[in-house]
Amino acid sequence: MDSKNRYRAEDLLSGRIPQGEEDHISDSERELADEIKIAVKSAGQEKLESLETAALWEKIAESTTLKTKRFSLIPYLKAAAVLLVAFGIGFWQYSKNTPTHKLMEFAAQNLSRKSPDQIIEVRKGKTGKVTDIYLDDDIITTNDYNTVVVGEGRRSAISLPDGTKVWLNSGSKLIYPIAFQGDTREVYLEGEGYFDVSHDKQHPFFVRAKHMEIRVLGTEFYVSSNTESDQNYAVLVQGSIAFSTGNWLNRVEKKLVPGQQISIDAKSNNVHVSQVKTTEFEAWKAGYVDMQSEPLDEIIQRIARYYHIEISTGGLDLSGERFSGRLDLQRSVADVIQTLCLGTPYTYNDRERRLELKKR
Amino acid sequence: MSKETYRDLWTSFINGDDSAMKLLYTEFADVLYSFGLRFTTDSELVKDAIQDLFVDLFKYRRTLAIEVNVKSYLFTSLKRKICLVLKKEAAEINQHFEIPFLLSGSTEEQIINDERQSELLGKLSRQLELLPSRQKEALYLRFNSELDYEEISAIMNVSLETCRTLVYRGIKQLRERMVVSHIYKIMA
Repeated sequence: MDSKNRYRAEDLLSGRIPQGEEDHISDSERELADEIKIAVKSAGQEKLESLETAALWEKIAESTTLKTKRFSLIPYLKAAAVLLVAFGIGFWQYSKNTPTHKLMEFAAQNLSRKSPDQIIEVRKGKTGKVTDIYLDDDIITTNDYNTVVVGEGRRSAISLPDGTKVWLNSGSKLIYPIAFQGDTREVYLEGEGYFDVSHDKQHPFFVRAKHMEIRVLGTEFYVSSNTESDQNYAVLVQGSIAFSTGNWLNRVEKKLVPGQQISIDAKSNNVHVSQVKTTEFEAWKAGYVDMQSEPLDEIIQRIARYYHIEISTGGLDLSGERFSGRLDLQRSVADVIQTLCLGTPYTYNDRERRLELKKR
Repeated sequence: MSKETYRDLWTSFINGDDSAMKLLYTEFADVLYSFGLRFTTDSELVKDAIQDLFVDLFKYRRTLAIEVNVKSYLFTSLKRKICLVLKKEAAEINQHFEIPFLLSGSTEEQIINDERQSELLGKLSRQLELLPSRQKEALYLRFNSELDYEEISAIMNVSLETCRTLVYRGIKQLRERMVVSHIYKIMA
């Protein structure tokens, strides 16, 4: 055999090529070996959701003596020293009593199993214990945290204890402490929100979400973090934010300038920065859209996107109806479309979320 | 994290530091989960087994050996737990149980992969799934979990040389099948 190409992919991958003869293998065999590695690598990349990982640990901690056990201080300090050397700052993220830890733990326990509808059920049911659950609009207060849940087809705007304003889209959840304590202000978001963060240099503001973390330096920005889809992104409107994703082992960090959108692909952990028009996001916050002779079907689709729901137009030809002006989106989706349809032959069926011809 | 770091965490844990185990858990939860899914498509079973595994570690903390390879210890224990359940389930319906090794993963994952993968990778993945279970397991542990042969030999309970041979034969078979299908394509 040609001594130059003596070895094959299997020799290379099982480590059977003697030292000094590493290049006695053809390029095509080397390429095949790489492809095989990639194929094996891609055949098993399942990951636990970060909330699942936290919930599973919670179960482990519960079934062990972890929570009540007292341990002697000396081995603890020794271990701490080892860990600090080994991971630097990473250690602190996992130590128990940081606000971050508490917030993430709370989010894991309270968001993982309940869907927005179920939480709202609690609110409307009024049969639950009212002693430790304080209900005000859609805000549920438990254990030092407020949880805001916005129902489908609705929007919500709230003020946080530090004066920060948050506009939340339909189906979103926000968890924030009743009072911000310590050196940082931290909130947890699932869904979509527009943040106008009040300026406070001494207390940086963090938005934590499933796949990302945003550090804010007094600014306006928009975040979309959806547990179900892989659509996770942030848009900076004003000021500056630092975006990071991944855990402390493979952390990616990026600073954004206004007008930039950063998207993350949760599967591959890739981030992508692009330029976007911020007017749409600002209009979203302000609660209106401007139309210039736009056909009704396009407007309906814009509204659907805006409220994050699907609206069927059931094959109706709506292109004949055109509208200009500013459409106010402060109210529920049903109100908005009914108003829009006033002078048309159509009506909106809220139950089935579709547009129909008016019955004569 | 390096082997030495795992060892340090392990030792700290045995000496009473609970946070060390949490770090090990955080580090290994995903790889263990995906390794577990090679034996069953039941993700709840895998999660239960992971929970069981870590609860056991706390329970038997005092009796754990300090001199272990942490990685292979966790992999081996998880595999044993899952296979025990599967064996029991098979026995209940009077079926013979043979340890499977599923490389294609969940169907959902597969669809996404199929869209993204190039034709060659798709072909390779299909051929991979046709290999004997033991070869698949050795290939997976080597190139997916990125373990060394010593660790693989502990998990698969065979000699170091057997592990290398399993990898060698697996790759050889893959190559031969790929070459055949390639020639066939040129001739067609």
